[in-house]
Amino acid sequence: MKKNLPFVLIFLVIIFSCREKEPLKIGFLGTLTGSFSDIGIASRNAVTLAFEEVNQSGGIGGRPLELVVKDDMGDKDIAAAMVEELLKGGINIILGPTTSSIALSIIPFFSEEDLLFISSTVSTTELDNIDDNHLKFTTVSSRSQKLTNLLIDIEGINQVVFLNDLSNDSFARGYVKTFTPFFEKRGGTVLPTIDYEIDHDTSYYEIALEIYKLKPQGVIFLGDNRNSGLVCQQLAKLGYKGFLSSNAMTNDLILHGGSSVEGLMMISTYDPNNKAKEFLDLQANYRSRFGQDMNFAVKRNYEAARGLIDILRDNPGKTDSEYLKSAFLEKNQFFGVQGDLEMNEYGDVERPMYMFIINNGAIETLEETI
Amino acid sequence: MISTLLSWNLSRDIENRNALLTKTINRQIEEFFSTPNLIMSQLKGLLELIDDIEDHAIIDGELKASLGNVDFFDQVLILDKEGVVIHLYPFNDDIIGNDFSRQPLFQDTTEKDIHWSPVFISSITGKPTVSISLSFSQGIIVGQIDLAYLFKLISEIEIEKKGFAIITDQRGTVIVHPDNSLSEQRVNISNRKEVEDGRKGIYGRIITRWDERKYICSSSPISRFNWMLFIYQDYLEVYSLNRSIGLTMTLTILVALIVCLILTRIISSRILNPLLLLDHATRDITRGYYDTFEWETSYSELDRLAENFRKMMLAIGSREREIDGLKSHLANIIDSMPSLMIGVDNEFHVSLWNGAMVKLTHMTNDQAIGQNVFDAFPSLFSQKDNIEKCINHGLSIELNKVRNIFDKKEKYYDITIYPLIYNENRGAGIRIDDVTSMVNTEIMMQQSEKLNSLGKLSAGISHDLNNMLTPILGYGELLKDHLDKDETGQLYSEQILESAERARNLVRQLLVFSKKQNLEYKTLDINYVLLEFQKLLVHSIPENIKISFQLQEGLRGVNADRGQLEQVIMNLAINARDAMTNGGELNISTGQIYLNDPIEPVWEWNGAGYFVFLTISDTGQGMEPDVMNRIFEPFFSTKGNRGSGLGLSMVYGIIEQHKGYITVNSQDGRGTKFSIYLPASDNSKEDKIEKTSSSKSQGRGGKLLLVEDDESVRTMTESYLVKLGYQVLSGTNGEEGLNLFSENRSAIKMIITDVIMPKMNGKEMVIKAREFRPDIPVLYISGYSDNLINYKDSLEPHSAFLEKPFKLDKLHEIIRQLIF
Repeated sequence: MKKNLPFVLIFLVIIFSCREKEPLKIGFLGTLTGSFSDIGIASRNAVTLAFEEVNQSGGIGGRPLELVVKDDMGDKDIAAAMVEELLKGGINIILGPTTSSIALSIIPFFSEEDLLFISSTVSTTELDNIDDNHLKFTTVSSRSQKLTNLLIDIEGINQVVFLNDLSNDSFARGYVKTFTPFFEKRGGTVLPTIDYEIDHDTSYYEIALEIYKLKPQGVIFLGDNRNSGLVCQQLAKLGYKGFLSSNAMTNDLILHGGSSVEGLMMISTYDPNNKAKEFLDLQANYRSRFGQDMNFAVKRNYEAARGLIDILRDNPGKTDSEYLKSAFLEKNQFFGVQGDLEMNEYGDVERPMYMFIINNGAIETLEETI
Repeated sequence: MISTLLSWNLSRDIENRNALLTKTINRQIEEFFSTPNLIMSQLKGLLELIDDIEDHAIIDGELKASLGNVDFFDQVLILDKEGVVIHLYPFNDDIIGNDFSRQPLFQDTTEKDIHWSPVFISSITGKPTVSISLSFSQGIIVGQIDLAYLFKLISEIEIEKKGFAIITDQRGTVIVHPDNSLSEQRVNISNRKEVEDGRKGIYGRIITRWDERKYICSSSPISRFNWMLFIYQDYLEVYSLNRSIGLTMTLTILVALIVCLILTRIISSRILNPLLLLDHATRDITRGYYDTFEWETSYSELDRLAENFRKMMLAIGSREREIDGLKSHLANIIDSMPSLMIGVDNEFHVSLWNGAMVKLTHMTNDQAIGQNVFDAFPSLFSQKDNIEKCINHGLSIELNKVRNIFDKKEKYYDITIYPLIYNENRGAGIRIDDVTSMVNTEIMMQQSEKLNSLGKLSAGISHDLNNMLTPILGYGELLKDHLDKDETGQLYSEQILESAERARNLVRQLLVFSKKQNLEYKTLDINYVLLEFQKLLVHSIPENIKISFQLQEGLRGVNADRGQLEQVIMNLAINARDAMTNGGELNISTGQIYLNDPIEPVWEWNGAGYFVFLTISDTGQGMEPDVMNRIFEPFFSTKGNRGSGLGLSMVYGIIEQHKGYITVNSQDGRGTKFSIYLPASDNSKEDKIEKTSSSKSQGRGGKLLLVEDDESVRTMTESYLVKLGYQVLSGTNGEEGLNLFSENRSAIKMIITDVIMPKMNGKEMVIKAREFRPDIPVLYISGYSDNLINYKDSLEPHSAFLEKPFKLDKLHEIIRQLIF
């Protein structure tokens, strides 16, 4: 037996060394079905891509990253249940949520001790500059200023109406609430927001008619791009010729809006025509992996995922959320495909803003700066 | 082997089953989509017949008629050439007028073919949808098909218990999955190997994992849509049979192995263990243990082998012990040899260093071994060439009586260098022997023989010289008496007598050296003799030489001739004086010693006993060895004309004649010491010396018989006796003498006879004469020394002996003593 001992030991060493290291599980919470699923799916895909890339290069300290995806279906209760599910699975770092509405609905979780949310498309101002366990890779605080400048200074518009998809009501309300003082300060008027809810009986025509009746100089969509596009179709049919703008910038707007969205202008931190190498690489990789063009949600989530990966790499073996949050705030400078990002003391990222217009079924970047 | 075969069969079975399943699903999909295809084609035909495509009444009616009973279209749209919806079934006013120009289904539809769109989320239903579109002359017909049917189809396929099927579009986005959420969430699985391969047109079977479970995935294309079908079969389920067979076989093999192991154990305990014991024993032998072999009874063949092995072990052990003993013995011999022994290799490194070397150099064996021999023993450097010659040419070299090897000139060495070959290496053995004493003995022996020869020669010459000197001295004295009043005649005869006297002394000294002189032994106290002699000695030694005596009291007596002893002391003292021309010390000491063995090997040893010794040493110039070797030779002198060269020869002869021994130690510049050893006597000492009268007187008269063969001696003696008043009857040999005695038997007062004579010698004649007159006085006269001692030692009563040449007054004195 003694003589065989070395062989047994070698065998055991081989067996154990062959065993893959335990994956490091990271949660993802997003709206993957229903309204805003275009953002949710893009977000999930982006994070998936970032994780697949890091796993191909050996993972974090030899451990692969595993993304545990949860679909909140745009429902607050489901979202809370999903967070609980992730917590039960021992997961305390969650990329998401993807909408402001869900973010606001799960606020109590943001103060959970061992839980860290990193969102990229939650842009409600209600969560701006709060010291909680929620790090945002986006912010709208400066957007209101920029949008006011666009409307008043460039387009000469001083009366607008917001179109609010109730499935992301929180975001829209926050947005309007932040925007209004800026706009009004410049002499603008914000018409009462038109709310709508999408279900089997939803009539886009009626929504459009409601807008049309207000005769606004400008309509600003704060909802899902598919719905926005379809409303635009109806507005066009009604003969509305006013200014159109949308908060989100995805291809779905063009796909479903058709020619009716021609001339629609947007302000975004995302420049789809950027020529930075890192951006072009991401664009190509995303298309190769998912067969689709990327959008702002892809960019932001990819950057947020890369930020998380860097933090995990810099702090090997650390999964304590409080510790990692401190590490994020301490690092403050993060990789961005269109230039480095800076995180403020509340965990919010400041980004440059770009102006776009839809022209001939494509999104064009305007050179003018606001 | 069986397992591999089973596995191969199973694989083939899976492939067949999958092929069948794929074919079935494909057929079902084909069938599923063939109806909408047909309907859309029919619709196209209808629309081509209608002139005004915007005529709602006609178109709606046609659409309702065609699609009223069809449930798989979610929506059918008719777009104009700009992509704007002009008709819709079921009707929805909101959609009419919507611009679909940016939708892929509009952009990708060509005039000729039916176009199937990729899956997309319907803007109308918000669900994954696929559209079929055909162009016609005035626009495009689009049918949007809910994929719920496909979901149902796929869900109902039973692939074992845990298997499932997936359909993806060409991008890898899930279209149908048993978990509907995956399609609703538009999950893209193109990162999975099987999907990645499918996108490249590679289909087949691979092993993969899905949610930690292992599956066999079989892929195939759904060619109509460029979709892909993946059938996942649970690996464990598929291989459960194979596994159970494999498990059984593994268990069987394990059991067989265990049985084999047990059998092997049993067999090894009977075969292997004994062999292991032998193996251990072999190792023990290698380590030098020969008594450790223990054996357990095994097969008889092995027992016999073991017994032989045990005997072999004991034999080897005993042989090795013998060899060790021999080695140790040899080492002891080499170590204890008085010879210096050194072994060197061909590079002059020391390989052997015996005990004598250790003693000489104070360098231990361990320190010397391996060192350069000339570093270890620099004195050997003078022999480097010889050692080199020996190693290189295998020559033995012997050097005898080498004097200066250790810079000690008084020592002699024999050096033997002989070739050594060990382990095919050349080397040399060097043996150095101290032969100083042997060389000295040789020299002394040569000297001794030389002295003996000279003694014999001297004895022969002396006899003839004595016979010649006797008449010269006799007639000289007679002549002197005869020329009583002639002064000139007196002077001449005195010159003759003086020369003859010197010649007689010379002959006597020669006789002393040749140990043939007649000695008068008495038991003497040597200290007394020395004290008596001291006065005479002091007169002979100058004042610049200090004389000291250390005389041991209570010495035993010695049998010695006092005169001869004094002669010895005087000779040695005079020699000492001559060696100290510039002054010095003369020490004379005595002592007593018991000698078991001779001090010098050349002594003719007469056995152990007490010896009285006398030592005379000076602080003079000493002697070179060459001089010392010759000092006892007659006529050898370092004093030139001043010495006769017979002084030490006499000393030597006297001591030899006293059965004593003499040693001399001298070093050039350090003085000389003579030691004389005389055997101690058992008799009590006689200290006084008899004084004899040497006065001249007339004879008493009477007849004397004189027998002498030498005519001149006889005539001279007869003349002298007649002159003294005796009547002398003269005979020339024993017979003649005996005749004269017979004739005058009673008148003859005394016989004076030579000893050696022709016909009848003196002794025989006296014996016969004494038959008649036992008490008749006899005087033997002889110059032939060989017989002197014999006669002297065994003189019968009334007999005396006179050595030739004799002085006449001595003759007269003896005659008087014998007759009266």
